Amino acid sequence: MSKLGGYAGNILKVDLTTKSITSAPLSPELAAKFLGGAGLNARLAYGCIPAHTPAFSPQNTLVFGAGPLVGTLAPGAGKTNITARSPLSNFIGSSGSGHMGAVKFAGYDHVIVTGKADGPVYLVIGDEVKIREADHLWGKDTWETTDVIWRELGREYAIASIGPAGENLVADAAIITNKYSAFGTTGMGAVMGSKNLKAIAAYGSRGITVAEPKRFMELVNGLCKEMLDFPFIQVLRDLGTLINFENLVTGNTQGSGAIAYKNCQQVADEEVMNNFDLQTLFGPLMEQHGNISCLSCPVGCKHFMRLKGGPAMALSCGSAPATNFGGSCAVDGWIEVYKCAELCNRLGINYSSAASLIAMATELYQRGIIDTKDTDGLELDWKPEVVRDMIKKISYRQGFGNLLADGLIEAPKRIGRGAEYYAIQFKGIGNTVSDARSNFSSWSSSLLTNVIGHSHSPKELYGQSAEATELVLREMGICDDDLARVLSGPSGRHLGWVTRWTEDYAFAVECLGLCNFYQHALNIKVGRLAEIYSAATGMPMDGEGLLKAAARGLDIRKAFNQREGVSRKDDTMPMRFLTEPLMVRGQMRPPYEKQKLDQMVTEYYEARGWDRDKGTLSPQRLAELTC
Amino acid sequence: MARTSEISVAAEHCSGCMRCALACSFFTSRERVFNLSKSKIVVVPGWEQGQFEIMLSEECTRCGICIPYCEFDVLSQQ
Repeated sequence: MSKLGGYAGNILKVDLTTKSITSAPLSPELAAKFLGGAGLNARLAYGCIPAHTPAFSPQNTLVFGAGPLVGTLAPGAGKTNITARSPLSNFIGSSGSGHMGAVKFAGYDHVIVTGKADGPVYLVIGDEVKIREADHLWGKDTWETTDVIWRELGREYAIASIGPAGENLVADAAIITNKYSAFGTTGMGAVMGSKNLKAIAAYGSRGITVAEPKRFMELVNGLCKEMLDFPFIQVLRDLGTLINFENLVTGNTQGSGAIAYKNCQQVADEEVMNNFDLQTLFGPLMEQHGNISCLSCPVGCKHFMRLKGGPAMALSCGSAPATNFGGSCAVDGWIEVYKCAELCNRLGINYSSAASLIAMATELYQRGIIDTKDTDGLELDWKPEVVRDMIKKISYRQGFGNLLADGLIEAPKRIGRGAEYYAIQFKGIGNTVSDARSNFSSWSSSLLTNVIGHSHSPKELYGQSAEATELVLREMGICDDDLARVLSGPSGRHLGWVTRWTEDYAFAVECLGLCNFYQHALNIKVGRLAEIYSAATGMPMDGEGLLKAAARGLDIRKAFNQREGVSRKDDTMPMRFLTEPLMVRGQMRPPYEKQKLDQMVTEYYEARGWDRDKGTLSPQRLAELTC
Repeated sequence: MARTSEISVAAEHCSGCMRCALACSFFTSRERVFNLSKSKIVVVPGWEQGQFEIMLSEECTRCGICIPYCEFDVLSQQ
């Protein structure tokens, strides 16, 4: 098979221990089998990381990937992925960002970084690849680091850097690109820190061709028009992810979840979210506001905000600080939550897990399970100054923060005294946005079973009728056979199949390098995604083939975890969600009872074709994926 | 390509998507290649967050092919 279009065509391998830098052609067969980006990253991680390698071992490998549409004019094709063994769960970790696509202009689809440098370094991936010393950067926050590297190399470079949290191996450390957009979840920043790798800078002069330029641009223009004709596009452009914030607070839209509050002890309804109205944020508080886009995105749902008496900063997700710090940690008011976000961004720590850790510690303190002897004299409370103090202590591993810095699985184990009950985590990742008891959807099913842990994917299909489910999935291009499976079972809707289908669709979007907006809002037919893949790469592909390739990527992630000993007991909810009901706007929502949980897990395993009891891949499937 | 009138740049509206530069490199290359380094319009992040600097290189013929690919009203031409 000759070189495919779309792909840059090479994999870069950097060993920081030996300082060896090599490159190999990307196998077109492997690219077609796993599409690219997150999917092929998972296959490469499976091959590169020996079984049972500790997350902070030099043998753990950071695999970076940009899918076949990244670097082209395909609208929203900016998403890139980093995969490695996660220090949070010790299973596979994975996180995405929209600002590192420039690596393809250096000539690489994937970058494999292994080993450990003997001192701080940063990696320049350009027309030449260089490992440069970074003693002068160590200790700096992500904004300062980015500025220094831009001065050294030029601002055309995309910069992914870690802050003090990553340097200090904080399990929830993030990698921040161009000062604001995060590879946020699963602790990829800590793996980078464990390698003494302070930053990666990418840019180059190599071009990306597509197999059928005329057809490709017709499809690009059609998709772009459809995106910009989306009914809520102007609201999305104005509000970004805050588009759904009021619904989460008020519950005005049927099926909306509700924001978790004070470590999921209750929900953040209108009464407690008095100081979070959008009219105040976009009225008297807002001094300056502008759109920011990921690479090749015509929408610009990210924003720069300058608040009166508050921070001036770019934000990937305007909603996350309000839901995480305003909800989980009960920090009151826009300015206070965005101050928390700025601190997290600079120090390089994930918002949601930091908020979940601090919320857990605060509840433990208020219940008398821990006291000032545990917290270095700090009186933990739902107050912004205390929360920001804790963000710093965790990021610098100071005192009690040193204990919390090991994450939501290890920290409560070390505290003991029943603390694990109060850790609201999914495979080590903290709760974010809504409380999974507040609505019941394919998203809550995916939270339970997906291999990464807490995740925003896939599309949420709420407790709709079979007819409504059919309507949405037909819009997204489901084939008749799959639809029959989705609509099977006594309740008229097989949740396992709904979850599988929507996960496969979401992962196909991610592997191609496209924005999640494609599946969360646009409902673009999967066949059209296959068409643009074909026009870019020259590889024949239909919607069914695209979903099968995505399923291979999700299965190889499962294979990674299976090798590390994952079992059915890992596919569960936080203990609180299994025992305590939740009052949501006057209605009592029950906890996830064991029988219901078991049924959800079994249905999902069946839909995936895994062993229905153990959730394992068959030897034949494993052989197919790894041959 | 024919040189036409000047392109006006309202950089304060730029979102940094680079679609203008991707389009320029693609349509002005004989081989139809996406390549930011070959674009005659250059967009880089500003030192201040949320700002972008936009430069038209000496090779820019003001052909205007980049303009329809900007969805943020940054580029215009009489």
